[in-house]
Amino acid sequence: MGARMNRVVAITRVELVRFLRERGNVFFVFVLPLGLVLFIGLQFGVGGGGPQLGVVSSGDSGAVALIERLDAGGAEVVEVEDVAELESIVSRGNLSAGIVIPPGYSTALEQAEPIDVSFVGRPDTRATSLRTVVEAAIAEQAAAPQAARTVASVTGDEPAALLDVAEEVQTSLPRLQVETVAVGRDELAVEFAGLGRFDLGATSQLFLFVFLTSLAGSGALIQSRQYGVASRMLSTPTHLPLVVTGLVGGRLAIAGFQALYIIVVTAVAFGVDWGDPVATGVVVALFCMVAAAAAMVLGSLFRNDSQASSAGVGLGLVLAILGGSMVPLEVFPGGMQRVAMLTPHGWANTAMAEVVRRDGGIADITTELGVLAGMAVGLLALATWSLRRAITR
Amino acid sequence: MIRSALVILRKDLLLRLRDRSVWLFAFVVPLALAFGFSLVLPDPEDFELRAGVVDLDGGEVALGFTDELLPSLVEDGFITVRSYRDEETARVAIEADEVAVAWVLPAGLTDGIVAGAGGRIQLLANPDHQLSSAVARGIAERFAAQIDRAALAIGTGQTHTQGALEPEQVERITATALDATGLVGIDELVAEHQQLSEPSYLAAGMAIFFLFFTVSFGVNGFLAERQEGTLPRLLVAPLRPVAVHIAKAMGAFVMGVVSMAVLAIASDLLLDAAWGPAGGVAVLIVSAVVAALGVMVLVASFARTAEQSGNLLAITAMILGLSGGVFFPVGTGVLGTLALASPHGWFLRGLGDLAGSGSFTATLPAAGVLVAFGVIAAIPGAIRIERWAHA
Repeated sequence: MGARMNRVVAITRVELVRFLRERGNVFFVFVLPLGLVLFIGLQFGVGGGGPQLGVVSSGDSGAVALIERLDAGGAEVVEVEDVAELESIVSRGNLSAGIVIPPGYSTALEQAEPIDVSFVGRPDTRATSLRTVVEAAIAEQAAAPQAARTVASVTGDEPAALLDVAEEVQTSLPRLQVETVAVGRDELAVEFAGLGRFDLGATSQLFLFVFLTSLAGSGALIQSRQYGVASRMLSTPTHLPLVVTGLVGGRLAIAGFQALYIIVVTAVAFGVDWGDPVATGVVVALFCMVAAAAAMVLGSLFRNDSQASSAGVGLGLVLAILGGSMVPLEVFPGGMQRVAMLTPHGWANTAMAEVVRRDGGIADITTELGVLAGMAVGLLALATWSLRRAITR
Repeated sequence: MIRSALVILRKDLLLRLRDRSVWLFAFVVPLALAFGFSLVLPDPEDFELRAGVVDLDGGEVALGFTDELLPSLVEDGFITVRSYRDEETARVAIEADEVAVAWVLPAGLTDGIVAGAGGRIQLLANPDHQLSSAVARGIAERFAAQIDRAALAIGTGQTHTQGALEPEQVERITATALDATGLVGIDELVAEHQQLSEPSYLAAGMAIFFLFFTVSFGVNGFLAERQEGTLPRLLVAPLRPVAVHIAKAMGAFVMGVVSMAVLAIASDLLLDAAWGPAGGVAVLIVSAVVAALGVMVLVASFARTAEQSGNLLAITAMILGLSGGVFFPVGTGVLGTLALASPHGWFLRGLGDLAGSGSFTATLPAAGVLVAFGVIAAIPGAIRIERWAHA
């Protein structure tokens, strides 16, 4: 057993050395993940400040007070010059939603007169959550003037005269609160507003990227075949499955390194929450194995490295879409949710949903881990068979 | 010179057509991506909130929620509601995914509010259903805000009159407070069709991401010819070297435009996600291909072999795609600014502007930047390549 392991390790080492000799490849392993680190970190890290809400305001005291409430409510307020710019930023997708606080807002509140705030939002979850935050902030701010107006309409007084009374009552009157509890967690009520607390964006992006780059690199096996390295390996008394394992080991080491790099740096530098480290580590490791084995299969099927690469990138993207790494699984129509389970991304994303949203540990994701391991083994077997056919033809 | 360039162009195109990877890139993969998206993207019209409610109170406030508010939402076709006996049953139902959320109205809710002591509505939510949770929370909060308005109005009235409000006045105040939509109203600013829809954004993002791989074939082909030795032979022929370069560039250009056009059309037909009016889209596609060509020529000029350039091209395509917001939309702030350094970002921005205004002139700024990217990148790249072609 020891001798066999030595051969596998030796083959892995050779593959890695050959790979890293190319400057382009070094760039690929070390620099490219930095790009993803930056994006994941900035998007999903702590201190991201919540989803951004564009605000156009005249700057009067009422508007400033509203902005403070919006901030306290969980939105990150981004001041925008004017309506035209707000519309343009939202239609480009740089902001999910925005509001326009008209001039005269303060005065309207002081006089208890009606006034309208305009809201613009993209048709997505973030905009819905932001709208809730906006409504709550406005309701809070307009409560006293509104009460004053209502009472005045019945008693016949001037609304503005009742404003002080209303404000005083407001400070001491207990509210009707809405408390949100996430089901499936054992502890106390957890306040979450769909504002990104349980966002799986970081992990699903990681899986998309790892798989994609692993497949994009499937060309390396072809080069290894072209240069005759693979056949020379086979001429030694080493079984083909061991050779394949060694080759996969190389790809696995690269994919695993990139994934680890991304996770650690985003966690340390940006405070991104990846859940329980052991569970996450195992999910990611198994996923990398599947990605490496898939790259092997591709590499053994094509003769031409640019064909393998293009098929790889295409397949990587399609699997990512179907597996919930681009559009979240939760919005998939029923039938497609089942199809997602044909992809490694589907299982990996489901496992991470358990880990990140429900504080799950290894014990809670054994099914997902089992399937991923099974996929890795199956693909390895397929790669062995395919490579045997390709080399010994 | 034009004729010789055309001959080479024709040969190049034929060579490309025989290369299976070109078919993959230009047609199969874009169509597969569009098809994949069409399967998984939900129709926003189809959204229905599956909710449960547990009424442990039975008083007026609770009934206002269960017997007035919820039925009106059900009638609108917006939600479905099931009643549960108690919290435990509701939790079980949520875990079994029978419903996505459930509101719990605790015992003593009405009494507490009438006595001016406030109260609490609990929302049980399944964290796997983010959108449903957000919507359900909005519904509960709107209701709570209404009740608070009524309580505040009555409190104000009582304080103002020092407890001397007539019962009839109390009733009128309550009725007005509950009916009114709020002193500060919220109106919609921009109608939906003026924004680039999510499916269009995703499809267009994939298209431009892919474009860089498609175009890289033309560029890679050039390097392969150099390696194989056909390039020096071409250069020895009685044509100006520039003709060779132009022909190669045209080949990649045609491929790029075709593949983007295929995806634009497929997006419209399969996803019902048109990218915008044809004129503006065409302008953006052409300028995007120019940008891709230029950038890829520059990147390829740093490689010695076709294999190396393949790697560098893939890395460049990934980084530019990421920063340009292809995989997820980038907000304002640092990420938004970084997107301005990526042709992908400008392409998507151009489409957004086109959607917002409807006229192709809105695409001109983005198109201009894209062409500039292409030209500015191509010049040093072409010079470098020129040097070794003659080396």
